[in-house]
Amino acid sequence: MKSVFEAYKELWPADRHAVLEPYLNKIAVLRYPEDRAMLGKVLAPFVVVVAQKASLRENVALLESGFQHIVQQDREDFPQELLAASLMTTRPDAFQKNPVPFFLSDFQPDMLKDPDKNLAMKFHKSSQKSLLLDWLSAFLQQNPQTFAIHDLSLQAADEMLTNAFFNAPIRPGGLRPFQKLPRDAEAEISAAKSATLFATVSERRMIVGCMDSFGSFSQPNLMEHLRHNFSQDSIRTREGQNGAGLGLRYLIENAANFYLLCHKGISSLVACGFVLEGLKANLYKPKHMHICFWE
Amino acid sequence: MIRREPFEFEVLEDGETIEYSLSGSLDEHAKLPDSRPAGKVVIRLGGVTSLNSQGTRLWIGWIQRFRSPIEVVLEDCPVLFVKNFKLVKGFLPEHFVVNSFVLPFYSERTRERRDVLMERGIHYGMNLKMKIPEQQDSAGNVMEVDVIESTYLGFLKAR
Repeated sequence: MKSVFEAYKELWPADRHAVLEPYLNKIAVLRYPEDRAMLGKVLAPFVVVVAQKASLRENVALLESGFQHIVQQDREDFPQELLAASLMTTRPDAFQKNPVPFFLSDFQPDMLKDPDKNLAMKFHKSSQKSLLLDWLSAFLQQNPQTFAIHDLSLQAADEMLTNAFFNAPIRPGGLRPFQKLPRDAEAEISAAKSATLFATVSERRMIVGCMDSFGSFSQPNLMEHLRHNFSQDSIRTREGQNGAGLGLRYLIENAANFYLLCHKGISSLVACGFVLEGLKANLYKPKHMHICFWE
Repeated sequence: MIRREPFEFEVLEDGETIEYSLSGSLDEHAKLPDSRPAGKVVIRLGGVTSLNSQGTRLWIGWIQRFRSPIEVVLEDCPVLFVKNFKLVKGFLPEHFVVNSFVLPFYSERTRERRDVLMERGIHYGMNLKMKIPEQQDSAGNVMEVDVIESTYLGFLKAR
């Protein structure tokens, strides 16, 4: 198998090769579906799957096989996403410190200081959700290029917040104190463990994400949930008063790119990347997906 | 700051017909109206501005009260509703009639989006071939339908 650098160095300008080579040489490329026979024979966490129009169901099967990064070759943003996937694996600390530059192909450092382009809000109780979504909605409305995907991105943020309030909090013994609560109940975590909802808009892209201070995703449960959500064309809502079981499907379907990164016991990041080209470009294009668990 | 609207509803009763108009955010805080006996139910959804997974489950629970032979008509279904028709089991029962729904258009040149209301008997249904009205952006360019029709309009096939 070739490394990312060997296989794709021509995607980046020659004057950047010396900087990129040490990182991109550590990550191998598996082409899907051509290299399907290799699926069970490689060390999945150090491989980026470069897919040819893989469907969501195929993406999920690849994730279940242990691969963490699936990048769609036919997308315009393929070079940036391939680079981001490689750097997430080789430089996880840099990624966790400031993930936004990894997400946006046209990222400029000034964006993070511009309140019209970047929004970040800390929160610690579920009664803040409505206000957080109001602020996000207002932020989107001041960026006219986001108008077409306003509803999709707000729905995604809503589901991220619900997850952060009710599923993410975990006590040292493993108890999740709010998981069984009805979702209109108050769930409050200590201010020291507050989470952050963020959104950054560039000319062609937008990222909406939520970072918590628990790092409590369970990989087997997540994979089971993904399998359940994507093994059939239509799904049933979960009975009872707690989670409806649809949030993850909404998150992944709405966005062009999906990221879930869990640093066990430290933090989790869930983010959706949107292409600012209308609904179709987000709902129906083959999706880049990244699901990583770090110890 | 423009606040998102909280969930509200209005109920109008006219003989055998009851009309529910829903608006605002259909989420975990929404209290859907009590249902009353009726021969026909019209549910207007044009005012619904957001829908999350909790709202989706509430909706499914609420509409189960309107079993056949009650005639149920949905009006002005927003994009997030139409997206759920095929995706979520029980979201659009077989005996419900979608009388109008939103079809989104997009212009790559001006990056404008426009939502067009598709009406049964004018644009589709009743043995009509689907008629998608041409849309132009503010610069006069033809706008594209901003969904994959076979997927988004899939709910019409069985009706």
